[in-house]
Amino acid sequence: MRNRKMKNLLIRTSIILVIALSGLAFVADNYFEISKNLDVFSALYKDVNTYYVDDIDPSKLMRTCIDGMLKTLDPFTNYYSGSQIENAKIQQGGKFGGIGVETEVIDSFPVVISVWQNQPADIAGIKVGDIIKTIDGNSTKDRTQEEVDKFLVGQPQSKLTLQIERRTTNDNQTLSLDLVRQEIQETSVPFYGMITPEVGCIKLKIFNENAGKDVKDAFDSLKRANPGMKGVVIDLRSNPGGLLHEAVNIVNVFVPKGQLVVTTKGKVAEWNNSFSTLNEPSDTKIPLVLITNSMSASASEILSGTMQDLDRGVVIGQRTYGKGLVQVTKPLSYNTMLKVTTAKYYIPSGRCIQALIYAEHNPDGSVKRVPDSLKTEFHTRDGRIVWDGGGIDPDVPIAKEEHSKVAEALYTKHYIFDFATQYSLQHPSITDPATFKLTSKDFNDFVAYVKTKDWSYQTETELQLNALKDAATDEKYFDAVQEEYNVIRKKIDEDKEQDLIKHKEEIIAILENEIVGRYYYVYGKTRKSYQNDREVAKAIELLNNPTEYQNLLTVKK
Amino acid sequence: MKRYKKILLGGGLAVILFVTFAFTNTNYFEITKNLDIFTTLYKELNTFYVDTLNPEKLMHSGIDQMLNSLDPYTDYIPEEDMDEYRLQTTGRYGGIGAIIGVRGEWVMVTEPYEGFPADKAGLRAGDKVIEVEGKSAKGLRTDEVSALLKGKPGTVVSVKIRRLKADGSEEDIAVKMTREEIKIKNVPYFGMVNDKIGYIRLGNFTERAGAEVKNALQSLESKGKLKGLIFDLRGNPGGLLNEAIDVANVFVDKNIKIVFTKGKIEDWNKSFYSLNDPVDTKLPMVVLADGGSASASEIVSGSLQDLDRAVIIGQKTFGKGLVQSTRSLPYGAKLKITTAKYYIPSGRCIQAINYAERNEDGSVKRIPDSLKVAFTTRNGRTVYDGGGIDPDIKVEPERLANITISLITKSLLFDYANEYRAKHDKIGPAGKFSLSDKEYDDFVNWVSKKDYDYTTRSEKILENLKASAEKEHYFDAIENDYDTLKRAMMHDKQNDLKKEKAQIKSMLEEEIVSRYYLGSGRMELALKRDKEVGKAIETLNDTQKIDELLAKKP
Repeated sequence: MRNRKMKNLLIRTSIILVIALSGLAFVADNYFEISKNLDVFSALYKDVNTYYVDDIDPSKLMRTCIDGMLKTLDPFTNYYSGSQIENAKIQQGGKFGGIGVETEVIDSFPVVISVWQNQPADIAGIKVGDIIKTIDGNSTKDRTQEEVDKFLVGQPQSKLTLQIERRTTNDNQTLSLDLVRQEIQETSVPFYGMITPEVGCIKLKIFNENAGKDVKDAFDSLKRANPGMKGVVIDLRSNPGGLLHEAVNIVNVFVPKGQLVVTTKGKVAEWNNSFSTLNEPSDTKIPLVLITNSMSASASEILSGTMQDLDRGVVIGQRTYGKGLVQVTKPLSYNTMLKVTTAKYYIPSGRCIQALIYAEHNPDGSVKRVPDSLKTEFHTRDGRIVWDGGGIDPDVPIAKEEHSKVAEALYTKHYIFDFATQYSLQHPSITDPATFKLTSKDFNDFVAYVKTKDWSYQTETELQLNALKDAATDEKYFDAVQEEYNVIRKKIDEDKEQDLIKHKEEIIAILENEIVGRYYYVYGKTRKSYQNDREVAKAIELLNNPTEYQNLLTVKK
Repeated sequence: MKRYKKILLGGGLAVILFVTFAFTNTNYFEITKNLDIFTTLYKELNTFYVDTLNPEKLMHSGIDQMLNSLDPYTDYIPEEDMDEYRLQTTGRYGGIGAIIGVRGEWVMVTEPYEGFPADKAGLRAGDKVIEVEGKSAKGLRTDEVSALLKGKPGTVVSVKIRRLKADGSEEDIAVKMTREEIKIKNVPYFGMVNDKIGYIRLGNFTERAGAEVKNALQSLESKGKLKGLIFDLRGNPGGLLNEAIDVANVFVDKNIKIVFTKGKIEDWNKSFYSLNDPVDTKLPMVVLADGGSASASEIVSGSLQDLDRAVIIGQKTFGKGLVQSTRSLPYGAKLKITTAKYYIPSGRCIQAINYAERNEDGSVKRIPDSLKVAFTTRNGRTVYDGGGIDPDIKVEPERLANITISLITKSLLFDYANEYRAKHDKIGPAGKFSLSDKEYDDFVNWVSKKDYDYTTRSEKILENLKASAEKEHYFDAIENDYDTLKRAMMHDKQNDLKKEKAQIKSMLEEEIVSRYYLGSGRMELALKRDKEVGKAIETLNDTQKIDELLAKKP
């Protein structure tokens, strides 16, 4: 639902392998071709800069050329200019000096949308919904998200002054807060805990450099506190991946030492590499269910795919993204950098799960998927059939749950967010995440609140109705069918008024999640969301039913 | 060939300027730095990428992307594409003179050019090319067959073709043709549309376009009765700038400034004047233009408008006011690059899209009406820059019905014309040809046995509407109404063949006429029912109206 998140996700969807590659000579017969093309290019680039009718920015022009070239390869081979490298480092390392908040620019000011527990902002009392008016005396009005982020991050231990506005129903409070930036380590495990008395759950959101340790600590602590734990759910949904060796380390928590997990293979055989588990595992027997979706990519697919190939866990949810390519970063001149796909990776059954063949295009220019007819059969350790060429297919597929347009609109217009802010300012505390419930009166308050707003949303149906009218007018049918059309239009308008009521359950669930987040942070929000989660429910059901669980891992005769 | 060299010579001159210019430029460091980064990146990529890359293809895609970000006319032409490029500027190649296209497993002749080897050897539209030089042409692509047919003028090519006979069977015919230098005519057709009004169509601005227009007009005038001229620039994409000057010069006096080009560097700016004695500066004339009239077509139509020499009829022209030059690169490659904007006599530039400024989503910006500037023609009429040439008399373009489009794209009109040709040895004069109602019914019967269909856009969206409504839980409420709407909207092939009879019949007649009289016959017939030509005749018949249109508005 949030665009910025999606963008980050796309950037992150990659496995970064840090291998030192020794300097390699060009393959001889390509050498002439390469220098010839560079010759032509250099003459062309100079001519364009000199003779083109308008003034052009040489760097921007070059950027377009490089991006255009890399786009024909795959989306993970990227060029980074000097300024982009700083950002990329933050994204890979997960370490930077900050105060532990996430903001979003709403109505020209940055608003705090998430506070990380026990980080400087949290300790200073900053709450979700607070509006940041100035940072170190600089007004934040009309700043872009990027500018705001730049103001907030800095050297650890450096000082920062924020002016905050907190809007309650009665008055607006203005606070001035002094904070000290700390090294912020983005946690890879935003939630772990028992979701039933006997079932534990670990949510892994990214494979950063602590991911292996974070998962091991989470599991060990769950097991210590709950010796009777019957199984663990690992939530990999929308996890875009990250570092390859951390995927191996997480596999290692549940799989013995010395197990081959990943092989990478590229153009030159000498660069191929294998990665095996190196440590003593925590538990090689406890039943596992891994939940995936179409945004579980890369390292997430190594983890879920390896567990499937070793028959060590049941995968449920939706088919994963299908990224089987490995990147390496190479520094270039003038402090720029190239991230380049150098290899494909193969999981224990021997399959590569890359779904798109970037080198080949359909006639319409779109990238080719590996067609079913070219998919190859592989076998798990116990002999179950699995396939390459298209992500990890869950053992138990569950259709994706989609939000209604009305819920999406309430969310993107921030009505859910604002209502939760007001609720949390009026209620000093709530019960724990698992038992918190909104009353009917609360929901009616929300409906009344939304009614005071002037808002609208367009359903897909309405969009199609408009398109139909345009096309039919164009094709000269409209006059003949106008009456029938208007009948449908009117009925849909009437039906739409019922949307808030029709989707009551869904809206209440979203509201509850948002409100719980205000008291119990990401942890509580995640815990709460699991209560209305079909996929988590299925995972629990499987772990409570050893026969069904075993059956799924057994070869079908 | 001479004029083409002239452009290159201009480019050569610029190289000397470049030496003094580039090295004093503050951009120099930026350019070197970026080239340095690019060189390392390109080498690393070729070395380390997971798959073996084709260095040339890789480079080509980067260059294309880079040049596309500037404008659609700045182009990189690698050596292997030079033949095609030369054809575009000169209109010349060595071959047999026929348009070919692929149908199923064979390449077919779709139209022989009048008077060239294919025509002289009796090749017809619809003939399948079975063998070239004794080698089967089965399954070959159009460009492959084209390459086999092309060659040095004077050489012989032997071809086996397969032709439909009257009884529906096919016969193979061996044909030997001597290749000639094919020069695609800039003026594919000219003639009289009635006893007083002449018509000249200009399809391109390659070499000799000016001379061809001049000859055509002289030939029409030699008959003595010419009282008005229709000059058709519809669909003409432009070409060489010098030819545009020469074409305008046919109708306006010597030493008139037709075009002024202006670029980044003042020294390169240049004015172009008419250099020759005109043919006729008084003959009332109408220029037909449409959205496909671009570039050199707009110089001609725009300068004739700015000089109040002609009435423009049709639709707003494309709006291309940019000039390209060709520069040589290493290894035989070329760069075609926009170096200037051109300005027509009133001083306006008619470029419609400002490629330098983009919308946030990267799409290009049209120049908004509010920023358009008014200019005045010689007589003081108001004209505007920033968006093509506005016709003095607007005529709505004819739209093809879905069924007509379907009949064309499925080649059913083409096939039927081939069968008609096989059954009828000759027809009457091109300009008088007409299918009887019975003959049209024969076509309707023939076509109803063919497997073809089309989905209207409305029908497609109707399906989407259902899917969305189901997903969003609205469908239950509207199910019955939806079915009613759907029934009302379904198309009916048989009915459409009747409803669009006038349009389909015309297109079919033109297709058939072209089997006997080639492109010129098709033109002759098409002109008879051309709405815009009709409007032009009406305008030219009323000389007072023309004077009024071209006079200063009070």
